Amino acid sequence: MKSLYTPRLARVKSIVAETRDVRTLRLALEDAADPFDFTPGQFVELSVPRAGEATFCIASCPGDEGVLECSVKRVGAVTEAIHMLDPESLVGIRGPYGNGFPMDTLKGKDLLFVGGGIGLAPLRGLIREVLRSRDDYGGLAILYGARTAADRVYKDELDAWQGREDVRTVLTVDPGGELPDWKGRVGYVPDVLREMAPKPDDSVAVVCGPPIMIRLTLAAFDELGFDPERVLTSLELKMKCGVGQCGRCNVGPLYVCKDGPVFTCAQIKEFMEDIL
Amino acid sequence: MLDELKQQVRELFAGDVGLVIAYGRSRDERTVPVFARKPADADALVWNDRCYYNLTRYLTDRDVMGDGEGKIGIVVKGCDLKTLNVLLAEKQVTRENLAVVALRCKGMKDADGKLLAKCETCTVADPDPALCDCVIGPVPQREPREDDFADVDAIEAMPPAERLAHWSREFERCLRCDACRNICPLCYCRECLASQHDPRWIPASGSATGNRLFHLVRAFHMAGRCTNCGECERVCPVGIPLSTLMRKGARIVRESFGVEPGAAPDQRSPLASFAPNDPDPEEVAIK
Amino acid sequence: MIVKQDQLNARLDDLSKTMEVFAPVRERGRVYFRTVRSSGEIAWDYGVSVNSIKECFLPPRQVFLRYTSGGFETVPVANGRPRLVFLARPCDARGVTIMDKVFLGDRPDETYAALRERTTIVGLACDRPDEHCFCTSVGGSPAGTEGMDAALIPMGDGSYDLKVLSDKGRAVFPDAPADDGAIPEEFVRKAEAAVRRTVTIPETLRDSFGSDYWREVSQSCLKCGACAHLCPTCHCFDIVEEGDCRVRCWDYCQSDTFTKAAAGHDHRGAKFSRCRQRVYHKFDYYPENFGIVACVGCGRCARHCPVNSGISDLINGLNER
Repeated sequence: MKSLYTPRLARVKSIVAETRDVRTLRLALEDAADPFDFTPGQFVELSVPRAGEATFCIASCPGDEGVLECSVKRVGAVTEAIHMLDPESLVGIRGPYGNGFPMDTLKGKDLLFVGGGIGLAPLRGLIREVLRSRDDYGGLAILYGARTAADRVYKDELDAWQGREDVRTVLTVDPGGELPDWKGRVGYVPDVLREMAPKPDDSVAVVCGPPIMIRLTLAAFDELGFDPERVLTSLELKMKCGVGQCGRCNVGPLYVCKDGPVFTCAQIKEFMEDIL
Repeated sequence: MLDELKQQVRELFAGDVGLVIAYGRSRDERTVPVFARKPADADALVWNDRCYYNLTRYLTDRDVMGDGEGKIGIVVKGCDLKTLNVLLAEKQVTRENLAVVALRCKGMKDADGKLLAKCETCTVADPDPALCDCVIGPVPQREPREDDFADVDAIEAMPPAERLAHWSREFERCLRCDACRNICPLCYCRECLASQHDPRWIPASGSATGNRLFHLVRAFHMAGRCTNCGECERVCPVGIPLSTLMRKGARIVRESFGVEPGAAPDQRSPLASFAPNDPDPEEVAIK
Repeated sequence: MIVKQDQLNARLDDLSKTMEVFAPVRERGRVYFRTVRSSGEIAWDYGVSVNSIKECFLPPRQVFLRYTSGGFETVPVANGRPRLVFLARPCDARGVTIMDKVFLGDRPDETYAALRERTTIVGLACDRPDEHCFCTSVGGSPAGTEGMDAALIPMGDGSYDLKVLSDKGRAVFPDAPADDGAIPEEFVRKAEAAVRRTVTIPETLRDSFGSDYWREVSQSCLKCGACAHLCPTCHCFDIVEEGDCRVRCWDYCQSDTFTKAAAGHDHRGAKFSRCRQRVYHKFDYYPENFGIVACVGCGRCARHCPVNSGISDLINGLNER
């Protein structure tokens, strides 16, 4: 008997150590015949038998056929167990859950992606999907900050984005996090954002990162005159069921797992103090 | 007596006290803990036979105590004063930061109007003035009976297998609501062992094992510290006789170490310290 | 159809041969809903039980997944026997229909649905609300039959007016004639008048989200789960690993670990925000999402709160600000 809570089996195909505490796992579902259609911004509940289950956004894009990637930061028991997995280990996947990014409303707009630390993971899936049909979108800019140069995730991909002429990529590290050969900016993401002074015009901003960074960045976008309906964020609160029943991720009338994790700033403004 | 209490509290605010934890009335006229923060709040204080709460519980509540600045006033009964002594001995509060207003007590009743078990055997109805800043109220005419530990004896009379069955049945009722732990003034760990995820020492769910572990571990953590305020048993929605469990530990400690928890604010905790003349484990008769 | 208590007891003893019976039982001076083997165990004369009947549909602890060498094995909900909940109060029966909105919504929970399917609820109309009850303020009534498959109206002389309200009810009482299910007006009037406590839910509850009021009223709260575990509509749960299996168990939003993420961030760390969350979830968010207040006015939270705080007080106090 299958239930809402029965995970699908998936095998770890490859593991990339992004930083000292972040790994990206590429997974392949065992029953490949059963489709797994997702939108960038959706998430899965990843299970390690006997260790537990945790929420991870999908860091790959639907356009990368047959690829399902999650980036995992080691912070506790479950993520520790995930970091101990080898290729060919079996894990469980439930999902895809959540609303994903509203791809249609992003088309034709200038997009500004603002990521912090591991928060680049859901943005990566989105950025990849956008770059696959570059002409469908306006100007693209990526602002990414990490605590130190070594803590940046997807270093190769960041280099690739920086190398592109049709994307403006700004990288920053926290004050004190730079290495002598660091060529990017130094400063917290919200401050660098203010320096960049993006114009609201026909732009949509997408923000993801640690809670404090999201809060300060959303405030910065407010200062810059962005319409709260045009600033999106992907929230990550503690989740368990993933389907809006256990109540854990409930904030206001919203369930992050069901009504989110992607929200506009307008949707969550009222309950900001209860979220971040 | 109540007027004297109110006046005393007003005077505390005139001094350097910013918060007084006392008894008051809820909207639906029940006696509840209240947190007075200005002289006018003193008008609403109450003192009656439903003031069973051990208010020292709030001295380790960081949400209530804030950043710990300023002096805190607290209203205590003789039994609560014992718990305060343990908190002082364990350095969770400092005496200089407190204004202790003790009340002489005629005994407390439960929601059904019956005198609480601990009040039947109470010997601290007239609090020791040396332990407080003032004592209010007429000296009560109490005739406490000796605590005969009949409930503890009844269980000790059972052979081990029966005892295990008895307690297993009790703990099966447990909802893991944590009311007992959360009302206990001495359960002040910032992260309770039972809440830790990594490692998960005690199963979170209401499994038989998890429930037994939770209560037995808590009983061990309480032994030598618990002053038998009885609040844990009062608040249990399913009526588990927690007081019996705690008093078992208390009796062992009394007989082995000759110590009554909470007798003085600088008393060593027998199970949290070592003294050369501590009894040999073999000498401790555990029935 | 008028029936006597001993007729009902006899029917119950008969039914208990094929059904698991869950009924009120007197223990240690209070009444709890428990599984009973015979009608002799039942406490007919009771007000509100300590526990609600929600554990029949959302088990306090449920092993739902087991690990095997090949992966995961779903564990079906145990004990496939049909179940009879006997003498449930209107507030409790209504509470189940409120939980249905979450568990039988767009992604039905298999366990809950299966347990709902095989459970028949026979209710007992209420002629004895106490000072904590306020069902009439939240859309309920002591004579309500929402959620019941059959209802018993006490006539006051040891007999009951039996009303069969659904096919499941008919299966349990096949001899009862067809009934329009209407409760005698006289009973309804008297019963509703006996509910002394009222709660006025402010229209502007959302506007008070940032009010200092929540800091003030939450001070005495111990952040325990007594209210949530006893509440007929509280349904938050945890999913944990226990050895070789995965377990779903009751959890409560007041707990220190409810919203604390592994990395340490806790978006609802302050006590007042938790206290506020419980009130708002029931009286603001649930109504917005499902059109109904997630409270049945049973008064359990007020009755059993270790510090005598009740949700009706919290709401009414807000009105006075």
